[in-house]
Amino acid sequence: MLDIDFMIEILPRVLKASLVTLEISFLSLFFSVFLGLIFSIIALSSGKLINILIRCFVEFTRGVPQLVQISIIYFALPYIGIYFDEFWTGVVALSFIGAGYTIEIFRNAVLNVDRGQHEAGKILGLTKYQTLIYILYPQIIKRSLPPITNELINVVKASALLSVISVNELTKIMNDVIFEYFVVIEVLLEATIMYLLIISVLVYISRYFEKRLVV
Amino acid sequence: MTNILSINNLNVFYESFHAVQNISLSLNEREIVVICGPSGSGKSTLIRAIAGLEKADSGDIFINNKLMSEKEVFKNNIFGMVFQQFNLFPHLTIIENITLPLIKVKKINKSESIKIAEDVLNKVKIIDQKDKYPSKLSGGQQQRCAIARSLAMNPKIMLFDEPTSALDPEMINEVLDVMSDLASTGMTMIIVTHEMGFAKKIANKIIFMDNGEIVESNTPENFFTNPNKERTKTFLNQVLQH
Ligand SMILES: Nc1ncnc2c1ncn2[C@@H]1O[C@H](COP(=O)(O)OP(=O)(O)OP(=O)(O)O)[C@@H](O)[C@H]1O
Ligand SMILES: [Mg+2]
Repeated sequence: MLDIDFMIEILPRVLKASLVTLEISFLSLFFSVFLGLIFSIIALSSGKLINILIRCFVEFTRGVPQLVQISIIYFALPYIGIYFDEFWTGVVALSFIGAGYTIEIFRNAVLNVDRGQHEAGKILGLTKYQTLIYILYPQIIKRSLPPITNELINVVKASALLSVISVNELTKIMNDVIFEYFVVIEVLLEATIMYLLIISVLVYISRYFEKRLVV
Repeated sequence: MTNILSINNLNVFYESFHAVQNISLSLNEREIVVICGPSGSGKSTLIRAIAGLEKADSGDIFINNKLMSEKEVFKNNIFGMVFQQFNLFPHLTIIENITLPLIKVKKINKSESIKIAEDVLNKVKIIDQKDKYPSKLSGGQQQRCAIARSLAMNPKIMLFDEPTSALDPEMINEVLDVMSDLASTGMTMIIVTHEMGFAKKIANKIIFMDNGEIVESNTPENFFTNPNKERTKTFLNQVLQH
């Protein structure tokens, strides 16, 4: 039988850790969407060289194991003179990993907007950049939300990897509790429920916005 | 009569396919040219190449006897273009569709651009729809809005690529009427259309294209009653049957 009392006893610690996971996920998603917007706009309005550089970044974030990327950021940041605590190092790492996906999400969404929209902007005299900002990006928000939501789910899951750099998020605390009390099933179950809860809430919020957007 | 547009030996290839072949064409101010021809004959490619939307592989396009860079042509709104699929901006209301380019390209302030927009919407008779989104309008209304949007930019030449082909039959006339009004104001126009009755009424010159070439260029009277080429007759028999 499950030890319900024990599960309730550790609940405050688990909740606190869940909050950290939630914070990291939100911040990372925010920054990766921000970076994705900036770099997809740069990619779409620049020449070959810039596009190759951005392509390299995208391939790197997609091809290299996330754990390796997190370690690289963890060791590389101090090396170039930037000192963040574990929490913010984690946010930076997940933001870069996420940006590799969001850049592609936005870029493809823009390229998939009907060719007539690009052409109408052009013939009216709008510059490439103006067409992107005023015509194309406003039209891709709604259709980008589902893939961004998937990305959000990935970020929440990837945040578990930050336990290796001792960020006090849900997976790290889960492991700590297991080794403190030598209780496994209850802790795993509680952590699993928390992850599912976090993801459901986030997906719900995203669906809500998706429904309310017109275009 | 002042020459406004002069096209010399224009060629467009898609890979090895020669879609527009050595086309030369000259247009005076206030002149209206209708281009017709069977599907795939290169009408859209030609008009899009004139507009700068399709890259010409060779040939020159003179505007008021001057060669202009593609960038200048777009920036100075030399051409207004009306597409078969309207291409209104779905996330903007009707009036915003018109004011946005005025504000961003012509740098006209907001209140002034609203005045201009209302003026052109009056001309195409959809002023009462100005605060709706394009998807709430009928096809004919959307196309009239697209015409108004082009017009607001004050182009030298209006290009139309089958402006009524995507419309339900009962809406075709309202768009053709707006185009006739435009013609009577002296606008210079190149129109690709299958509406032969309309062409006959409005055109100063009718061009018949086939296989990427101009087969015949003639006055409307001669074009319909006494065409020079056998191929033109065959085409006219086909389209006028219906
Ligand atoms: N982007 C493209 N790539 C390759 N071939 C093309 C492309 N666009 C057009 N073509 C070809 O060029 C030829 C001319 O096409 P175009 O669209 O100019 O014809 P059209 O006279 O406008 O026909 P329609 O009456 O059907 O609109 C066609 O054979 C078409 O298949
Ligand atoms: Mg065509």
